[in-house]
Amino acid sequence: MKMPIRRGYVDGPFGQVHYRFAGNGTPLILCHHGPSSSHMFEPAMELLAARDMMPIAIDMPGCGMSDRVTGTPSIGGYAQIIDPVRRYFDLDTISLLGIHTGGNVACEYAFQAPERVRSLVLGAPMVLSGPQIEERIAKPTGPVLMPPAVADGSHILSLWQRRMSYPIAEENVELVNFHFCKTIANWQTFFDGTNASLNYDIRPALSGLKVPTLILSGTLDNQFSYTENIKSLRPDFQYVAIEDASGYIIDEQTSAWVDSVTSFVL
Amino acid sequence: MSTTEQKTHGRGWSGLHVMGGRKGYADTPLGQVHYRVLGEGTPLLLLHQTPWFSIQYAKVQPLLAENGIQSIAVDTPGFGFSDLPAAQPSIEDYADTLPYVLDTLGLNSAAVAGFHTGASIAAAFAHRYADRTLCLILDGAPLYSEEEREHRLKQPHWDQTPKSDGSHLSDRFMFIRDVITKNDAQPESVNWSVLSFFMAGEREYYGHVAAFSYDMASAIRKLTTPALVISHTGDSLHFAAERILTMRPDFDYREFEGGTSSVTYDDPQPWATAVVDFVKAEAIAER
Repeated sequence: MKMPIRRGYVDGPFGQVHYRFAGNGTPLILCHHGPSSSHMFEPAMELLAARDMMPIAIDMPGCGMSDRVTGTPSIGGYAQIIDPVRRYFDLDTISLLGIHTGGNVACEYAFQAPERVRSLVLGAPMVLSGPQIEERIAKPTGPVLMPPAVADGSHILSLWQRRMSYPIAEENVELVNFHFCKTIANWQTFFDGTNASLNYDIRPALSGLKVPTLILSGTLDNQFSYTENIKSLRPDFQYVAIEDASGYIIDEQTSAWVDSVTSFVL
Repeated sequence: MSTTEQKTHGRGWSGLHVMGGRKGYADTPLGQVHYRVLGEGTPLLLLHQTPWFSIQYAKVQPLLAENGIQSIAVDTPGFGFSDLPAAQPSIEDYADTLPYVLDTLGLNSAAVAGFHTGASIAAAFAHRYADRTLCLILDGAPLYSEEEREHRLKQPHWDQTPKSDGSHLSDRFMFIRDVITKNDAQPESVNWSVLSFFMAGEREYYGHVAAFSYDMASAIRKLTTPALVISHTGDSLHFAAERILTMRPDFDYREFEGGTSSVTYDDPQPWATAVVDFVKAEAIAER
């Protein structure tokens, strides 16, 4: 049976939080990567719903249709929007999945509230090595100011070129364009998530996690190489690497991704 | 600062956060319809042009709120953040979603204002739901003759094919800047025009096909609602105002010198003032 994706809003600490959900099975909250929104999970949501899951994809603050955080965006701040969504859906416990920046958010939440998280799936989170993180903490990155609209239209082209520079399994202009058009209206927050990840030391949370965790990444993902850093901290986690998949893993390897998620979470 | 400098440097980009108010969805026969509500007072539905979305009224809504109007900017199905209909809707289909929006907000009736395609939908709403319409405001209502509509419907749809060098975006930007708004719109509103077009995707033609298929003249002849016609001499649909007023000399009329299809974003105050004056007068008359 086809289960449509529905959208709505929940009141959170920074204003309204926008979500998409489908189905009525085992709840799985999904956190997208930095310059994106909950739309990125749409290709997988109906498949997950058909397998007795209830995927609930959240727009991170400032992304999609969610209101912005107050002050400087941080991973800890982003993590504060998960509880209002969980409570709105009347869920005592959830499974939680996050990709890239969304992975940092999910990890932070699971570390702080292990009693609420049944299982955790992280997609290629940024896990810097000790010296890299020390350098970052010593010199935190500031907000990236995005260009205003200019009369010659070059602001759009510069963003397009940046988007085109992201790794992808096979050249697919339609796919890049689809995600570009879904996110471009929020280009003022394009780097907020990445910036928050760069200024976040994930190691204490990763080391202290008490929740069953799967690291699920595409081998072509530009953050796949961090897997080794995770393994050195947590050899006990499960690891699945999907071939021919980049940061566009959900579009490129939808079935394999859904299979991996469901077999771990259910 | 010269006009050129203003156009080049503008203000910073706020993206969607330029819009205030509270967001929500209404369940309708065309799927979930997204809206933004700002202010308290006399309710006013705001209906946008194709292929824009509620962003068209982002600068107007705070001005309306300051003057005791609760504006509800609606994303027409298939645009902004409303669901894409499964098949080509008619203007009447779009209008038939609006009672669901009012019901969701617990409102019995509202004033309704529309711009270009939004004006067609507003006219259809006032015609079909006179008992739920306080008054009607039409800006750039596309009152074409039957022959003109047939000609328009034969035109090819816009090509949205993406190009790896991004020229699909920059070409559209130049087209809006130079042809549609004749170098008279601010970069930020040109930008929204471009983004709206690509956000709506390849079915953005649904809005124009519905508008060109709609016999607005028949509806306008039968309207029983008080109405205000607004027109900007620089707008491509300025010619239609005279047609409406010839048909309905009883309608109020406000004309503004210059302006483009981006006028509610670039220069919101005159528009807001005209709308506030009319809606408040009608609200008092209603009581």
